[in-house]
Amino acid sequence: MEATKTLSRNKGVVRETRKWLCMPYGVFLILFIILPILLIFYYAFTDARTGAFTLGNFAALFEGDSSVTTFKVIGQSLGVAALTTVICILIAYPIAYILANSKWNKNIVLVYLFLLPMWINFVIRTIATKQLLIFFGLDPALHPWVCSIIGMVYNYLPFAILPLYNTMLKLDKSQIEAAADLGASPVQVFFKTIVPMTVPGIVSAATMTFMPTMSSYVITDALSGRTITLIGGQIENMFLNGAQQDLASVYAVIMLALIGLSVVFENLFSEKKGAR
Amino acid sequence: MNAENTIISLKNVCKVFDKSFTAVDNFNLDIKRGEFVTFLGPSGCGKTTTLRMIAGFDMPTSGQILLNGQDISLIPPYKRPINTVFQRYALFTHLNIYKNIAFGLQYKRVDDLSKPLKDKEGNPILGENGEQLYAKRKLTKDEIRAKVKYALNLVDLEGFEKRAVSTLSGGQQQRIAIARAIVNEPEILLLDEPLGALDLKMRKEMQLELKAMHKKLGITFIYVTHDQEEALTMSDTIVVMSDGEIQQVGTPKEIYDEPRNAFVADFIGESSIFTGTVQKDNKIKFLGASFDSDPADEGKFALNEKVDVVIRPEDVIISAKDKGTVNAKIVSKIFKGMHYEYITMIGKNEMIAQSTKNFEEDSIVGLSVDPENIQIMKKPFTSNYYDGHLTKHCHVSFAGIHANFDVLKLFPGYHLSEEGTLINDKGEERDVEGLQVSVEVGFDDLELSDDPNASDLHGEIINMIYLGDHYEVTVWNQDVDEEFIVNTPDLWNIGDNVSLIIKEGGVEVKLKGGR
Repeated sequence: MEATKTLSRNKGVVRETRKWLCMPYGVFLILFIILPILLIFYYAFTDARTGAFTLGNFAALFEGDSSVTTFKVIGQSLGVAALTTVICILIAYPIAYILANSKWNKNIVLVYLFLLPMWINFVIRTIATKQLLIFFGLDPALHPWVCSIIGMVYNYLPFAILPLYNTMLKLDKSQIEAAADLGASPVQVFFKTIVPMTVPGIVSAATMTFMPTMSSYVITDALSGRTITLIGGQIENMFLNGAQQDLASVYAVIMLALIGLSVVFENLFSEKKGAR
Repeated sequence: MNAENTIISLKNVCKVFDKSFTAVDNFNLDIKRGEFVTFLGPSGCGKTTTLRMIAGFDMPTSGQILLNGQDISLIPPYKRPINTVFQRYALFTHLNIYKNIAFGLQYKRVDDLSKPLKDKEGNPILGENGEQLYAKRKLTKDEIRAKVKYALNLVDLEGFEKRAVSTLSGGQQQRIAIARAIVNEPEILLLDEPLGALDLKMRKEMQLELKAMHKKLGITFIYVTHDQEEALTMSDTIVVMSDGEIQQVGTPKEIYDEPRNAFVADFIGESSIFTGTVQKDNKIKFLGASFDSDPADEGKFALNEKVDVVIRPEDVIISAKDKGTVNAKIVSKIFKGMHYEYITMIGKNEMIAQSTKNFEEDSIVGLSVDPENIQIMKKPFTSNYYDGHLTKHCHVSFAGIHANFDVLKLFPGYHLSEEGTLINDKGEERDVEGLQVSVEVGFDDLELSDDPNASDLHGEIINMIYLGDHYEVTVWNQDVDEEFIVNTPDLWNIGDNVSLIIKEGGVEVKLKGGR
């Protein structure tokens, strides 16, 4: 009896000490995530000089001439992100299918071949891409959209391949055989069973490419001759040219909202999948 | 067989994987329209591969599969009028029950009776047998709905249309898988161990339901299972397979009562298998005693021919000591409800017996078998066969001698320790002492010598036949009353006393099935 008591007391002590183990993470969370977000909201909703609450910063961005720039930046961000996502998935889907099929990919070498570019520094990779495009006669200054999209797709393709590859590894082969057995031709088998079974992979590939492309600016800066400005680039501009923290913060809030929306979309899809 | 009645025939079908592994070897079979055929065999015997070739998922390496006389072996699965019920159901998890069952119907095309085919002059286009041909059309939504309803009705799951696959139990999913296949009205329904994942009670129920369904629909069923009881219960015809080859084709009764070889006898039902020698006056010697054999077998075997003898446990008659053909000791007794199951030892040989009578463990009883219940099967006449057992140090004991053999071939994953015992990589020892084996010594694996010290095995030459380029010599050992047949190029004399030398690696040992 006495022994069990001691034991349970010891257990309690262990539990107490374990609690403290998550402290570093808590500190990190507060310092680098919660505090910056609070700061962003503070700057976005207060007057830079007086410090009083105001919606003037939003008004400054969405009124008159400045609203043109604002909508252009947001529109370009969404456009580049959407285009990149669609192209990435279209390219990644067949690649992932081939990689996941052991008939063509006997050792995992092929997988690494596609993931290897991720090991090279992002900025160096982008500058190299620019030089390569110029070498092939595609001047970023003349074809800003084409070059930006090529750079984006090249950089984010691995993020699209990986989740698709993972879902395709787990494909239920017998369902594919069952569809063929029930009279579906190879094309019908693809659209009726393989695509529906890989929807979770498609959704997470889309989020994995859409969210980072929307906020990145290095690639568009380097590959569009600074003619395409995304939200990230605009925030950078505002911080560097004249310390407009309040307006930059408004952009940051808008981006948070957009990313939040895409997360909601993703959850909607996965919930639908769970209900099935 | 009447060709008109044959729906599918497999001709010399072979399937080789990765250029080296032969899964199906020269498979020949005709299946009649409306038959319930079962491919039965242990896992890896090629039964599923054969089924997959009929379904079209695998292409035969060579040979033909004829459906209604036409070669379909290279036609993809979606063009074959054959549907499959998969082992793990393979229902579409992203579709509800209705859409699962309707899946095949959306691709089905039927004759549009309102649109007879006509050529440019307006004359009707006729088929091979002079019948009017029609344009094809899809099924209407109402037709599909009616068919799905009928199929659900057939598997007893009315009203399940809207349910999701994940909300169904294993048994219900199995029924849906069956409904999804039969709703297409295939010419042949393939079932790949469809009941393997169900519990025993459910399985028995589904067996009877499938059998009833087969009767009602009149579709040809090809069923794959490793469960011999399932095969015996359901089938019109059983195809017993092993190592990619057909061992026997027959009705359940034929397969059970008249197994063609030791493998079939061992696989179907429980049995004790011995090596016997054919004697005069339609007698057969095994277990050291002479048994009367089935009069129907008279003349089928040569005198002194070595044969496999199969005894079913329910055919063994147990009586008091010295009242049977042989005496045996009961070493184990298990109550099985309807009867007792006894394991008896006759010397070093084991015989399983079933009886409703109660005998005490460790008692000596007499055993006998009615002549018609002694199944005798041919062995190839190129080797001597003996019943033997293993000794503690991994030698084999048979016909009164101990011999060396490659014991590691019998127990893969094991190696010999310094004491001569079997040990696997984890250091676990395996006790092989007393394991029942059948021993094969080829006629060419024995040599004769007139040096009495050349080996422990001696005997007297009692028969000698000249076969063109060699002599076939029969040596009889008086002590154990066993015969050895030897091929030798030299001329010996009948009555000579000789030593028998077994060549290196000449002893082939196989574990007996069962316990």
